[in-house]
Amino acid sequence: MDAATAVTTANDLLRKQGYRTEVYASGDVPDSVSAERGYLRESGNLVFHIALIGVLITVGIGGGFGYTGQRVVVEGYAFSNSLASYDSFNPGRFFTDTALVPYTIAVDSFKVKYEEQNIKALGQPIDFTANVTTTLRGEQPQSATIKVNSPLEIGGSQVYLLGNGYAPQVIVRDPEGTVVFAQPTPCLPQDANLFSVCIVKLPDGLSEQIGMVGLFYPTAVVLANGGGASNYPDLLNPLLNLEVYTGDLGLDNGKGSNAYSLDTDSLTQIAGRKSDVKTLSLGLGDTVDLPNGLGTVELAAIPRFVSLDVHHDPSQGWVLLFAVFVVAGLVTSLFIPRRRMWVKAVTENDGSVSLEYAGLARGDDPGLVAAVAEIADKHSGVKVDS
Amino acid sequence: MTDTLVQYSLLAVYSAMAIYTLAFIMFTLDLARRTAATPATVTVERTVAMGSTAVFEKVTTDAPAKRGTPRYLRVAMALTLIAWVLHVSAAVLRGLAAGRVPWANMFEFTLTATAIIVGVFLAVQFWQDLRFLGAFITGFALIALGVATVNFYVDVVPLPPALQSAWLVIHVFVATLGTGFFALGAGLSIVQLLQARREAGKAIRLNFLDTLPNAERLENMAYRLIVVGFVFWTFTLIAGAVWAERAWGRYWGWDTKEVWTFIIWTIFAGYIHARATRGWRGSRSAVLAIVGFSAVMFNFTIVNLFFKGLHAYSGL
Repeated sequence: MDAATAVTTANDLLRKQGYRTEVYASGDVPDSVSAERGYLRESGNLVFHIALIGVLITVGIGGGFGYTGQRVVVEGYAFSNSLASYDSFNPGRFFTDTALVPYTIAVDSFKVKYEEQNIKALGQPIDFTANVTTTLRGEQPQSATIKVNSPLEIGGSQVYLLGNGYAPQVIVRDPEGTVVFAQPTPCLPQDANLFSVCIVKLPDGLSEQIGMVGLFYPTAVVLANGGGASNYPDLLNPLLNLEVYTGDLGLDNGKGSNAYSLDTDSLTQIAGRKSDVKTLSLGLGDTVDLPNGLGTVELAAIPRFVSLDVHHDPSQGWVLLFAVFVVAGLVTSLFIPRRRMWVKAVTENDGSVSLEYAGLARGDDPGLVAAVAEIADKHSGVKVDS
Repeated sequence: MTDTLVQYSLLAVYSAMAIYTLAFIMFTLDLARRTAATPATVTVERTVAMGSTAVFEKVTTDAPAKRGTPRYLRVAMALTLIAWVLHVSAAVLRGLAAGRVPWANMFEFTLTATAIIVGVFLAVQFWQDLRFLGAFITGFALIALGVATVNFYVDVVPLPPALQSAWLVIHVFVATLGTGFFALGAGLSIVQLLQARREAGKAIRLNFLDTLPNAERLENMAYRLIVVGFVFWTFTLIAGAVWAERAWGRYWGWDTKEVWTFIIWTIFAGYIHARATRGWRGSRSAVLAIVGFSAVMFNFTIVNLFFKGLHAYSGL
């Protein structure tokens, strides 16, 4: 084998293994070939870092076009996707009203499954399902379900089921028996057994403004110290204890106030621990008189409420795309070796050809020695130890 | 039925712990033997000249005296394998008892994670002889299992709705796998630091280091394990974000666990860059690897138990 043939075969061999090669000659006789591979490693590195910047930019700018809004909806009620109907709303920096696709979501029912077999987890919720009817403007209503881990996709946004609780429907009648208040009141859950605090405000309808602070127990038990508690989250023995206040509720001065709290400092308690009349206790279906002949109050029904979280983020698909590029770039840049190889054929004085093999790693390359050995092995046909 | 399976599972855990203890003792005896023995094996290095240039030469090697595997080490490895089989069956039984993957609370997570760490340790032996890390790994598994059974134990309860997702299988499993590789990487880095001190001529009375690979080789092995862990960790981070988007309505919310997972990612990203930076190779990058693994442990224990956040699934 002469030097020229050796170099040509080495060139073919290296090309077959994916190297870019270049043959060098002294005079007319080719006597060495140099080869390089692993450009993909550098490409991967670039892709990884550019994709990281992509993630930052899409998160930073893209998030500005989105919005999140929260809304509490009682079973049997609906909400429409408009600014006014949200309980709280966080628009992104570049949000405009046109981003709100007009639709309505009616919560038909909300089912909770509790653990009933396993004594160690009795009452632990194991499934939440909200059955809803959705209507996009100008289209037929459609049934859908919303569950934890399975949000509803509608109008380019996702609707999540984030919380739930009870919304006892308290009906207040004046002394003549006319209904002056009949809305369900969402109560704030305080513990895992859904002991909840309810606030009812009646600025109009009765002879005085009244405010009520309710303690609601889905499964009421009396503790040893005489206090009440709930020991199961489902409605096994519902009880609503109401303390009643009169006075100026502060709703007429035009200032916004928190529907879930009642400032009792300037109010007079007319039923409860601090007054002569005991706290009003109502089971489901019970009706009791309000003090001072103000009227009556009835616990008519106990529907549940769900708190829905609406998210609109047009950028999140892009974030995911860049994240995939991050991983792809990372894997390529870490695991594809970049190396150079040289095969040199030296014609000795006696006419024999001596072959030299060398490799150079760019970066960390544990397989370099083996790779050089393999080339040497295949090319020269002589087994070489690595 | 559930209770029976849980009992068998616990029995398997305790048996595994007993055998890990024996394995740990054997690994330690092996290290002691290495201290006493005169170094007979010679690590054959490729000739490295000028940075990362590897010039290939036919290296004639003095064939290291083939003396067979030392008895302590063989016994230790066999014991580790037996303990690991028991350990894995404990996790499987726990999963069967609960009717789901056995990593939904801290006890189960520790149980499965340590099984995977030991599994990675055993599997890696096919690639490299890292048996000298046996004392580190079995000791680590033993302590983790002890803490898990004594302090983290909770009864089998159903999955809360937020965890009822295929992502529980993927996200948590890959995180555990990543942890396994980081653990081995950290173990190697600790040995590397000791070895580097010894090589620098500092007086270290740990003669067993003579029988272990040199610092540079330890560093290379640690690096290769850690980059695998890093890819898994990156995937965990992204899969976690995808799941968070489904379950909590946002893909990133600066939850404490999210923050710490990101911090760990950054530390290991720093480690990889340190390896490519002159002056940061060697001991400094080893320190980064150890800091990274400590952060993983911190994230799992302190963050889980004492920080409030959405990842509050310890069940405690």
